[in-house]
Amino acid sequence: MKKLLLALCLVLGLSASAQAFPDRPLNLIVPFNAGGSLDSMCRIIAEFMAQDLGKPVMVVNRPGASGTIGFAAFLKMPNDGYNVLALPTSTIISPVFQDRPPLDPSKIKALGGFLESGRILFSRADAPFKTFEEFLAYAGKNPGKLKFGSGGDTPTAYVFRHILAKEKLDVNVTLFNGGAPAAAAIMGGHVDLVEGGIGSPADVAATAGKLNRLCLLTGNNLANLPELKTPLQMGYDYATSVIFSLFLHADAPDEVQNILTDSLKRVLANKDLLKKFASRNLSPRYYGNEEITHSFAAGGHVGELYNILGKL
Amino acid sequence: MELLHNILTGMDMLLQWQVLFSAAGGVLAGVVMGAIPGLSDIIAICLMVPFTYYLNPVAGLAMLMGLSKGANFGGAIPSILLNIPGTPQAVITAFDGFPLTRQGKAGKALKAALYASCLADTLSDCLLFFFAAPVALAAIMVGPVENVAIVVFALTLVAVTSQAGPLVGIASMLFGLLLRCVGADPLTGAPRLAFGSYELSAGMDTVPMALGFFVISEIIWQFCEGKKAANQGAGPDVLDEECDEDHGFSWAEFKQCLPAIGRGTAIGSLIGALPGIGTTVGSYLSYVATKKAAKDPSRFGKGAIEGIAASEAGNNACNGPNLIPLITLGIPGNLAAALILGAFTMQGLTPGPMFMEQQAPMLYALFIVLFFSNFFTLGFGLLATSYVRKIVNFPRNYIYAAVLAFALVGTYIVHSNTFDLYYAFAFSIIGLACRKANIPMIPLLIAYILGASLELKIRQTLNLYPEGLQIFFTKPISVVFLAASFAAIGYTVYRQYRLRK
Repeated sequence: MKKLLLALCLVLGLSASAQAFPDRPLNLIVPFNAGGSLDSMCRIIAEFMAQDLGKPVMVVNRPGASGTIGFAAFLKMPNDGYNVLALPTSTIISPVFQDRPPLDPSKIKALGGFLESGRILFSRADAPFKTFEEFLAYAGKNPGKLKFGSGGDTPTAYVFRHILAKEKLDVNVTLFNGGAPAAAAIMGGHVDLVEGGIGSPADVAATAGKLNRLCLLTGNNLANLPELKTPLQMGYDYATSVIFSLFLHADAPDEVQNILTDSLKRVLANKDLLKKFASRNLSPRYYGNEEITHSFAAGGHVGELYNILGKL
Repeated sequence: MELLHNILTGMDMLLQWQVLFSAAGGVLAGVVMGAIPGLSDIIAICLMVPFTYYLNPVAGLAMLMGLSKGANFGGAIPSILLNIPGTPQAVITAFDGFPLTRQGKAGKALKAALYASCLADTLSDCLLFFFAAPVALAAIMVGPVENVAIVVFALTLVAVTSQAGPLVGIASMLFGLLLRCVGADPLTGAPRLAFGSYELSAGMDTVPMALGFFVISEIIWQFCEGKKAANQGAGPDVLDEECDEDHGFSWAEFKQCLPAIGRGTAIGSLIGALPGIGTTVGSYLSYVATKKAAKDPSRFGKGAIEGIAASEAGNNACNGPNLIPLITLGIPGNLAAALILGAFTMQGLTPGPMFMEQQAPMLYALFIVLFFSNFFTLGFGLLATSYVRKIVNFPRNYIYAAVLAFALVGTYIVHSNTFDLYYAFAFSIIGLACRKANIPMIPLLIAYILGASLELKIRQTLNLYPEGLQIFFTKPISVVFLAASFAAIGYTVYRQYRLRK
């Protein structure tokens, strides 16, 4: 009996190792609370990749400290390619990573990006200002009164703080564990301004007329909201670039990286997926390594703000 | 009329064998996994998600909802029978459930837990059904400032009502908060109390903590106690001598439990609507309220069925309101809600302020699934109670070994991280120390669960209001809860003073 069991184990073990990647479910680690823009997009991507790969892809939320806790948790996980990390390119060049030596961006490699996210500055619909100019005037007259919440200590938040510094405005700034809690805070009136991506709960609320969109904090205009200006167009020196991307451990096997990259490419050409994104006014596509590197460079100079403005 | 139409359209989506079958399957799997310590509802949901890929979206949702409801009741089973909570929220159920088992009344205790679970769950689903919009409005009124006050209130109550006395309770609570500080700063991510260890600096989840602290330490404790008793010549029998077995649950006993269930539903629903407080707290507060209201509080802890009803009602009533922030704001309050959000997203639906108006039939389909799941829980629960109570007669050592194995698997499986096992072992030693020194464990556990969000919210408050702590005394909701906290402390001091005299 024992021998039989042993043989059975051996056979099962061998057949498992002989099977091609993936032979079991994958984890997709999202280092923010569920419900934010990256999280909702990842849930769609995960579902389609699961269909493509034939194995479930489970979204795992590890929120905290602007993505650094999830990043650290990911680095501790096995590097066999079954654990994939989702991050906005902006988070990796985020100033908060600069004094956290274990959180080294060189420890991960990109599978590719899937969506360039526009970051929008939202205000409450009942706020005494409706446009960005009115906001500047109001904040100037009421120092210390307005409150701003960000989904994390992201470069986007630094761009907003740069605007505040340049206009010599006194607005209180705090951080939440992702776009969803930040959206809840502005809807409850606990903060007056938040930054959030297109398709995030704040953006959905803005479409419903509960919030106003004041301006962009990223560098490219949006096709469906052309009236929103970028910080560069308004005469400020910084803007971020955000591409939602998937990463593996830097030492994960190359053949696994190729399988997953191909799967991501196929998924992003899937008409059903494009339709799901289109219903939210989003147009995803595959972003290769070059574009991701370019995004690092475009948003990278925001890192200087860390030294200019200091930590929050 | 439109409501009726929406409900009928919702019904239409549901009354297919696949949907009902999935809900029933989900409930069954949930009860089983909830009853196995170490396999919490979170793990159960993660294990079942792959199956939902083969179902249509409504059936998939039905399965996940059934799973989380079934697991919520299932957790009570080992709590009552073995004094080992199957899920963290069932910790409080053991207070009165296990004494009843020792008196040969396991069936009675299980039925009390089952009826209280299902009734409170159904009532809280009604709340979701009819009052989602106002409850959501109330929930978003709770910002960082109010959240801090509510957590302070919950922690104060948990500490001062501790059975070993308020001072020990407060000490245990503070120790829990201190342990929670190990890891990363919640705002900046800077490592704290990590002693240069990279693993410690990433911070730790509550799952390994709860499993180590409660389950593993309980197994070791019971094993040692059993050894001691055996050395003294006593048998390993769990039943107290000379007791009459009684596994029925009469109508009179049900009526006796009704006030406890009502209170539990009210408290649980309130806690459930607030993000990040958690079901364990709802269960505990409900238990304390029922004990305070009782004519003879000394019966509690010795096998009062109202105690079981209060605890189970308190944790199951969190289920319905937990979904409210998701449906009205698109913000999931817990993991089950996050998975439902995923299912909605796949359908091309976007939960949020406009969802109630635009997607009413889908919403009502969800509500009706919740109702059906409650009935399935009741059915499977009744079937189970007559059989599972026999587990008490099993040789203990086999049970310990099996539970220990499941607890370790459960610890590892959450993040596939070996370090979590060391963490669980460390906490099992802390748990054993607490048992040896008679230090109450609940304040420590709840402080550990709430500690991270408490700190984050205090920091956010101070960012938003740089003028300082006085903001806590100017916002009305915050003032009410802080005043209640001071009143609770004042009352305890007064009572201790009276007792001394």
